[in-house]
Amino acid sequence: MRTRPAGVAAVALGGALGTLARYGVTRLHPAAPGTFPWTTLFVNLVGAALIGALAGRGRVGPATPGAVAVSAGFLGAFTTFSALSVETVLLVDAGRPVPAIAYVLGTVVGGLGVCAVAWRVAGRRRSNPRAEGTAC
Amino acid sequence: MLIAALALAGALGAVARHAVTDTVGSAPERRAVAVLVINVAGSALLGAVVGLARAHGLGRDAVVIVGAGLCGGFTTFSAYAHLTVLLAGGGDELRGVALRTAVAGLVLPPLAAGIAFVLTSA
Repeated sequence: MRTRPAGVAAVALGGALGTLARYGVTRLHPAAPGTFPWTTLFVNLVGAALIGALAGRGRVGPATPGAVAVSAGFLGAFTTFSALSVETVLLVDAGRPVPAIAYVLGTVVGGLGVCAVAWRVAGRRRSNPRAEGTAC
Repeated sequence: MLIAALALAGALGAVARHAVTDTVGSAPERRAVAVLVINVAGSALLGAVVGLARAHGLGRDAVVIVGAGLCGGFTTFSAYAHLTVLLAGGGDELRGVALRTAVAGLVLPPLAAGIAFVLTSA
């Protein structure tokens, strides 16, 4: 399934806004390198919960430019894996391997957990994964 | 100016991510692998950016634009979570893919970032 130009524009717009929103949150609550990255953890958990809720409502995937803008665009760019990775490295570099491992595991376990719970609370049953839209 | 460049870089990162996942098709197990590759590549790039900033004087604006913008817009945690939960709700085969891509997605991006950071900050 190839994305039409409207889909690309939707991803670009959502991506720009999601990036600005993430940057805004990190400016409001900056974490010094090597300290525990609560802000990124918060951003990623919020984004995982929202994508789960949207999926539960059947609003994820390439159905409409609006759905693509929010799921692949905004939430895709609002959340981040590169910051998670580098903040983990910087915790290790600062001699704090235990918080580093807790950070990665906490993000992944917490993120998958809130995504699954939000999905279920928001509604729709997951019967056929191949029929679902995807959020990337 | 910095904010405009940051927004543009984030848009470019998101469009590049969407282009990569679009190329592999709509099957969720293939998209999960695409997201893994994206997160490894974006994490390595950010590791290099932060390494260059630490040891070779790369400026703060460049770190914001390339790091928070391009790498942040390109990599994603929401799609990782969505695809893992989606696949975990499928049959045995898809559950296996969910487990493998979830574990690889937890280990490989920080490892790639660490290698890039060590190489560039030396």
